[in-house]
Amino acid sequence: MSKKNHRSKQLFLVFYVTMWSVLLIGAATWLTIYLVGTLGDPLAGKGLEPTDAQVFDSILALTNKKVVRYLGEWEFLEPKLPGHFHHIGRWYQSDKSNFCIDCHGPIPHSRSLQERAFLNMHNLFISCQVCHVRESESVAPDHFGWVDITTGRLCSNPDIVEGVWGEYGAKIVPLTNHSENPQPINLKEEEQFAAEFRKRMNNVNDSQKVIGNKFIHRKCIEKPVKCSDCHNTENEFLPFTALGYSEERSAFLVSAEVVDLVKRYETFYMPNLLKPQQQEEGQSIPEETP
Amino acid sequence: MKHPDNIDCGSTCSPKRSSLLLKAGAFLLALVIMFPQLLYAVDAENCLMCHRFRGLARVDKDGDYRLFYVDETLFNRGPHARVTCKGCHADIDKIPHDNAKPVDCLRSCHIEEPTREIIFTHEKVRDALHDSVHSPTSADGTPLKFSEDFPECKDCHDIPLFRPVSIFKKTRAGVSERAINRCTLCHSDENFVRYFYSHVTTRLHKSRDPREVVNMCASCHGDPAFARRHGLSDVISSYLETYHGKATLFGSTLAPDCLDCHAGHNSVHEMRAATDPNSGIYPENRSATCNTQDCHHSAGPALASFDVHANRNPRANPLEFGVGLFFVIATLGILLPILTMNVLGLVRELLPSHQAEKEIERLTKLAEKKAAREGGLLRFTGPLRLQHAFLIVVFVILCLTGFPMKFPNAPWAPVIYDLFGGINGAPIVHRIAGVALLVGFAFHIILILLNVRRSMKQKGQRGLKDWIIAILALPMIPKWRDLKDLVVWAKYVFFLSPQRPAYGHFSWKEKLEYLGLFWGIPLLGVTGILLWAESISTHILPGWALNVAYLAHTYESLLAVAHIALVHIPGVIGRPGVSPFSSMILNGKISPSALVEEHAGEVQGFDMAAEVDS
Repeated sequence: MSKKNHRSKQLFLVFYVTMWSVLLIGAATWLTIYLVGTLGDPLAGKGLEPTDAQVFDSILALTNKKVVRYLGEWEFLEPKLPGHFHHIGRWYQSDKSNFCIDCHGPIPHSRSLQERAFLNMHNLFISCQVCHVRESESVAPDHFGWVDITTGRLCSNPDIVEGVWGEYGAKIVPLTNHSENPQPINLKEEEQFAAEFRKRMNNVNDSQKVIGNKFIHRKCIEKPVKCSDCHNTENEFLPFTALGYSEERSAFLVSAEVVDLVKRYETFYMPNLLKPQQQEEGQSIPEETP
Repeated sequence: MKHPDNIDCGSTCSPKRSSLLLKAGAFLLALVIMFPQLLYAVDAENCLMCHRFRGLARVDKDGDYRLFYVDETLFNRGPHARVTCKGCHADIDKIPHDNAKPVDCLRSCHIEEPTREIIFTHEKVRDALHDSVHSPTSADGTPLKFSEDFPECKDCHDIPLFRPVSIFKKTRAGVSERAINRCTLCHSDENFVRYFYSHVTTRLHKSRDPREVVNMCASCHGDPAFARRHGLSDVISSYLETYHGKATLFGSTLAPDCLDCHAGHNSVHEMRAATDPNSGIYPENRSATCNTQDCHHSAGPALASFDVHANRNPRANPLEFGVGLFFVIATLGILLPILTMNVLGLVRELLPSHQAEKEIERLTKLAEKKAAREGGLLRFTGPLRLQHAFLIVVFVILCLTGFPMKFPNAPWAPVIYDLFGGINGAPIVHRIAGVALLVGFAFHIILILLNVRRSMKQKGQRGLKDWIIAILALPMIPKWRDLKDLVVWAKYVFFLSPQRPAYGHFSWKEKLEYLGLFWGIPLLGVTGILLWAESISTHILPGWALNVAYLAHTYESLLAVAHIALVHIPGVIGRPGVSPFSSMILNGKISPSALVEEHAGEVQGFDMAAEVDS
């Protein structure tokens, strides 16, 4: 018993001495580094900006670079976007539920030069599947619902009120089997494949990449839904009122003001009809392949 | 107050929760709409129909992220609230917007300058900029080297926001409702009244927070590559090391930011080089720049030689480098050998020699006998314990109010500082504690001298020589024996000898710590007072002496704290067998085992005393 006691005392002593030693050595090391660092030219040893600093700033702005605005009685933190004059306030809630974003990102449209910002704006509240995916090529969906962008589960219509412009915490999705058990279009196979494909990306050759891309996008349609398919006065693709939009808002979305705006863009693109190949490319579904 | 429209619902919003949040958001938004700062919304073209969506964005082929979103609530809280979109984006006249040009901030916009009913323009800024060090061309219009580095409007400005100030009875941030009520009694349009109030009062104080100003300047001047291209020194880090910079980091709006010293009186855009005789920081103008009613109003002209942007670069600031080097060597030269020996001493405790153990056993019995006889072994008397407790309290307060100032960027700094009233309270507490320490230190010296005098009287001694002899004989003054103890200890921790040092009543370590106070307290006290009374100091010392005082104060404070934290406290509570909850600090009594371990020489003295008695 006394031997045991002696041993445990020794062990404790070793632990005690080790703890203090590590603490003191660590503190002394920090102190030395800190003090020596206070001497000399502060600029010496600091690296030069990378050549693509602007792009890098842009990337940082989209991730975590934020600045505080101090306005006396109130202050707020907002993302700092290089060269952006207007205040942003904050970023929008990111979509965690849609696997398309894993590759294409939240700003996927880039090819149709004039329309792309509008299309990206609709990404706030319309999922990619609405415009780009069909369960069957010839059958357009006629029932739609909302999916929570955090959980990916079907949810009830969000409150679409003035002042909350497109940021509803949910996105519109096309529904299948709507009479019995309505669910978003089933893309489980594509989603699983895409996840695996991303993991193995570095180990597949170019031919394999093409095949993989084809499979992931096999339910994508050649000609996606156009702006005027929804913003028209006769036959809207999306049932605004059923989706929770107020009568007033629904009417506005097909009002002359909006419809005229959409027509202006279509008119603008008329010259492209003379270049069918380019036009088709501009409207093709996969914007960037992973 | 946080801006209500910036509540990020985060990534865990369920639909129901998000619905609730949306309702709450809408309610808050409605509040914001009614809130005083929301002034004018000019969107006759209905641009916000599209531009109010946060997702309105694209990525250019060059990789630039272009966001076309306009936060209307924030937009309406600034002086541009009455300017239409086309007032700035004048070339956008059709949909789709085709190849819109960058906004020219100097164009005449569609708002009338109210005093003369002329169209408003920022054009005069161009003249001020052209005459400043920020002009990309020389006086004859020749582009300067690296002209692309010179700032354009958007490099320094994003859209301004009102920072109204309430000046009804006392100045504070925000709109004074009482002042507004005075105006609305006659002026029926409350929106205009609020806009006008904000417009004017924003300009009655700093229209941008000093932290934002420093960050703005740092976006170029804090960039090492930029500084190298233009042959500039690191002005940002040096500024942030001054009291000016640190106070700014803690949110003081009274501390000067870059503009206060560098900008001209007519416009902040009148920024001149230090070599320009018209510059406020030109050597001959510096005194007048510092010595204003709002700043160092009673300072002498010597303040001009205080270098705000001094760092420890041996080429640019050899004096500051020398002072810094001295303290770095002093700190590391004192602490590193002691810490090394202490760590080795700890390791040595794991493998004590049997010879030492036997001696310890013998002396412990002796000390226990004495303790039993006298009801404990009194090591520190009541007055000493009181002085020690006072020192602890004052030292801790000085650390808590000083170290956040030393490391203002640390996340813990504002938290601790706020406990003492932030930048408006903590420096005052620091100074009070500093004075208390000096008074306590003087009191301690007086007590010692009184004791010496009493002792001398008893012995019938007098005269300077006897005074010196009596002082040198004080127990805390190092003796020849301490050096021998040090050698014994070194041999012991290096396993060169089994013999532990038998320290007397005070070991050389304790004497060193005690005498350290006689170096540290006067140094910190004198430099602290010089920095505190900076204006008076400049009447007796040159301005650069304040640079030296600052360095001495900051380095010495770290030496003191490091010594207490790494040597004194571990030496008292960190040694094996010594309880951290030792009651010696309270009742002054030491346990026989601890006394034997730490002051074996003193216990041996008991032995001899007992023999003499017998």
